[in-house]
Amino acid sequence: MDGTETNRRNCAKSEQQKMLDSRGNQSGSKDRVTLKKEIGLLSACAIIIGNIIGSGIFISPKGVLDHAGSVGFSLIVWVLGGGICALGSLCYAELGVTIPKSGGDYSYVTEIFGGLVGFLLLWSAVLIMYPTTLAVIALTFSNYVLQPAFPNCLPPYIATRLLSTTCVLFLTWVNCSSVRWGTRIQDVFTVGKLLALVLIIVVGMVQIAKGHYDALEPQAAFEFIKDPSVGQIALAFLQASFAYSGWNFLNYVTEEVVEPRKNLPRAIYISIPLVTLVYTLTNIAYFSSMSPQELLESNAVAVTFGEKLLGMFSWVMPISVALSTFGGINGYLFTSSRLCFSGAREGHLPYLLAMIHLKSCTPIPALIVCCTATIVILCIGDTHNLINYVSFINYLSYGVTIAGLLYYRWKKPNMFRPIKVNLLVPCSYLVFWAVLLGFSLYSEPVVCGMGLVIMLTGVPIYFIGVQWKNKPQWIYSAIERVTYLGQKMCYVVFPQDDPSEIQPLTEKSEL
Amino acid sequence: MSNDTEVDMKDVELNEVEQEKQPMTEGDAGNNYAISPVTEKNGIVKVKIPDEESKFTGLSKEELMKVAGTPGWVRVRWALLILFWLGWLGMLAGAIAIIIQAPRCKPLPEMNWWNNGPLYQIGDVGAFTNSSDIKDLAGKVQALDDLKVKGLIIGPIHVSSEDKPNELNLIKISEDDGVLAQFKEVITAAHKRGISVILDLTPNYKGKDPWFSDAVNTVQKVEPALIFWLKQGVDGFLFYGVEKVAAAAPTFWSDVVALIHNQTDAEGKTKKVLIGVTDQSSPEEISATLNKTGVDLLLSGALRSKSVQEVAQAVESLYSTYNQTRLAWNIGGRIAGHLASVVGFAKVKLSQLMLLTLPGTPVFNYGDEIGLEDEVNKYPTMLWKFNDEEKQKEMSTYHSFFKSVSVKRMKERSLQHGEYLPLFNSDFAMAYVRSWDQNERYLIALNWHSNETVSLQLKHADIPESATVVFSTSGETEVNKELNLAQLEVNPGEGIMLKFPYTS
Repeated sequence: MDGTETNRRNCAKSEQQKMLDSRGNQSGSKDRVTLKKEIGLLSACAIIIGNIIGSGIFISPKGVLDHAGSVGFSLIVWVLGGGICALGSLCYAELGVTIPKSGGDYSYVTEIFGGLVGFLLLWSAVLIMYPTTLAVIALTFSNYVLQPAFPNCLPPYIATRLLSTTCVLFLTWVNCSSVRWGTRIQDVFTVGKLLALVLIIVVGMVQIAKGHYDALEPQAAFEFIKDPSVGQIALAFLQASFAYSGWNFLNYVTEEVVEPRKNLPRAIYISIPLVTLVYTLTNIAYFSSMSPQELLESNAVAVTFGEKLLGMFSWVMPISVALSTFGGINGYLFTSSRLCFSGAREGHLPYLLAMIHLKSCTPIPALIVCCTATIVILCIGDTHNLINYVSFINYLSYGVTIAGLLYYRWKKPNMFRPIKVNLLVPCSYLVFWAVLLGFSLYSEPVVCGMGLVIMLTGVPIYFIGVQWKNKPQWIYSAIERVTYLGQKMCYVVFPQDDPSEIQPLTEKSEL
Repeated sequence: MSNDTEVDMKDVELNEVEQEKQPMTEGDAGNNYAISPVTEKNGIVKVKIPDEESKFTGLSKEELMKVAGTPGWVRVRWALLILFWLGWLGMLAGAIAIIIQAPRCKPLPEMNWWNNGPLYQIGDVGAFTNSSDIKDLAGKVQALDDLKVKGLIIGPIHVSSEDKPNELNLIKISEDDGVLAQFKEVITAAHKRGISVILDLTPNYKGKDPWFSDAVNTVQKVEPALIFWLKQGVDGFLFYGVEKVAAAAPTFWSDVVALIHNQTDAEGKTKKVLIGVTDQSSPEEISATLNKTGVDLLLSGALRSKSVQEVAQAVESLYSTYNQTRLAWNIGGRIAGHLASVVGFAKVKLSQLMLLTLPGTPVFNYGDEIGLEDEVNKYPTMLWKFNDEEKQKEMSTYHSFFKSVSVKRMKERSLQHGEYLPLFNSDFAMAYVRSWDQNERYLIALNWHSNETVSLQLKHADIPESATVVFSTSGETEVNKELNLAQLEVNPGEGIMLKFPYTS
């Protein structure tokens, strides 16, 4: 989609130049303004759905059922999880049009709470969150790819890591080469995983029609495997939120949405109920053919489902999951590189990371940094604990961002807000968020503490790297030389304002 | 001309991205100075530009093209790209080579449901549930599932009078045990948890001879009864004195065996199990009975010897003769009594550890997980809640220990179906290793002596110098501690489970 946009912009630019020559400034500026908005309602829905649906739906059902304690309640968790996801999305939609900058929640927090808070989120995300998520997804990918060769035991450790690394490197190169190809891969694999889910749902419905729904009968559905508790319920929602993660990615391209006031809420109202429906139906399909016991014993729910029901087509499932994780890696590379880009543009990261290739317009230095960090995580190896840190930090950032929305309502009540959500929406989300966070801190104080420590290691870095204005000349010289070298190696340049843009800007302001 | 066009397109692309900065500036202006006059907007915008210009932003587009567009730098970038792809291909080739060279997975052995976890015998349902209603057994199923029990051996619950074959009715449930509909509720509840139900159908369970004095006539009543109970959803049957009935009426008994095993093959249903019980204790006798009777599992007195050496030798002998899917290990039983009474209350955990780690199916009497002891008869009332009394505290720890080891057994292939390697045995101690393919290995050391510490010098090509403690039946050995296997001290009455990784 971005590739398409680039093409359209190129054509538009040419046309604009011609019009400028023949008609004058006013016509040209109007056309330029109009043609920048290229993401319509359908595209916005596709972005949301494509980013939410991922490997989580193939992995999380086990965790949700384990903590929810019964089939019926786990389905309720999936539906309510979608609701909470919608609340978060609406809050982010308001922020997206109120603060129309690329970079998502990092940009909002920086704008609302100032540079330090924004930097801490950026630091955690760039240093730990994105690399760890990428590493975990890459490992999942290689495990599924190697599954046919090693059906009954673990694949060789080094082979798994090597395969994960080659996967990350390959996708990094794809994203470095072309924005278009990066987004094309995303589109292809989104279709792939949607087809897998449709297959699961259809086969599940067929099973139910045949009368196989023992686990779904009301009395059986609400028979609890273990006694429910608030802590267990909170953990069930955390598991579901992993599958729903990605709902905030639309904000990375908010400024390109056509008529955001109308289309953003519509995209959310259409996409998230749709995802919730797909997820709930998928779980119903799982339960139509697997007893809760079987689901809990499976390490790969979709694969077990496939083996049970698809017969000679059972290979479809491992491949679908592998393709889904492959697309997931691509998506995370795309967004994490854009986050580096935004951070560098704000001055929170080296300017080199904000530079783009002269020809392909891709943020090569940012992609290289993300890729390197991911490979480092893959080499460290202990991804289990890192996942816990990541989940905590990720969840913390959602709450901080939405708290910022409330803060802005109070501090700047008269600010122009094309989209204004009811106050109940952010308040409801924050209540739920506080409960979950509280239980996380209560049940895993060490993990949460480590997450906070990692985040806070950014404080001295911020004051040394960003706030310290009068650095010695030799530091400036060293930075300059490194930047020049990077530019030459990668053939990248900092995006520049064109002097001719001043006039259209003024005109637009008047509009 | 074409080159010029390319350059123009590049300029266009670059400018296109530059435009991304406009909305930000515009947004700020719009939000912060919406009411300001146009002139002020212009002023602010103009002021911002010099600030931006003073920022260090590296080489400009023109400078970069001039410097980095030279043949030298172009060659550098091409070299870097080639190096990247060579490295990438190297990694991919390395991964593929490792995958090809890696040893294949060892195929999982063919297992039956009764090989996947402990079996649990409930001879007196009322004593177990503290109730006169068999339906209440359904409410206890979850507690058994928590212990990873895979099969319930229930009963006998059929009508029978002591030594009176004429009053035998294998199809009818005795009044003391409830009605058929209630029993079916138990079966449904168990199946829902993935637990199978085995029925103890020993004809003369109240009398002296399990098959009455006339085994031939009695065994002829078994077949129609089996058909009846199979229709109710029962997954298997258990009989005492199988060696006697097999000897007295071999033809009829082989029909019984065939009937049960044919159920297994029909319609792809769950396999049905036939379990026999014998008083025999020597490996030779047990082997002979296993061969003659055709039962899937045989409960015996193999582990009841006072000498640990004899126990170890019996295990080794039977293990080397049979696939472990045909081995069952028990100490107590409906008639033999409870574990705590057979081995002594102090050695319950030791016995739990041994039974759950030997190769084959462990079989427990109800209450063995808490060390329940026999009373005036072999059917003591089950304890469901523990008070603060010293003994009941101990029972609670027995329960937790049993559960931990059982869960461990279920999760680890080495313990579930791994190979058995005896390392050491003496009159009071034994040690062995369970291993499977490249999975983690488990070493179990047991000291049955009540007063003496045993120092084991465990040396073998397949074991390392040290291993990590996973479980200990006493609190004296610290979990997660690394112990030297060449000088392994096992305290009196202690059992230790250690783990060490696979090494090629």
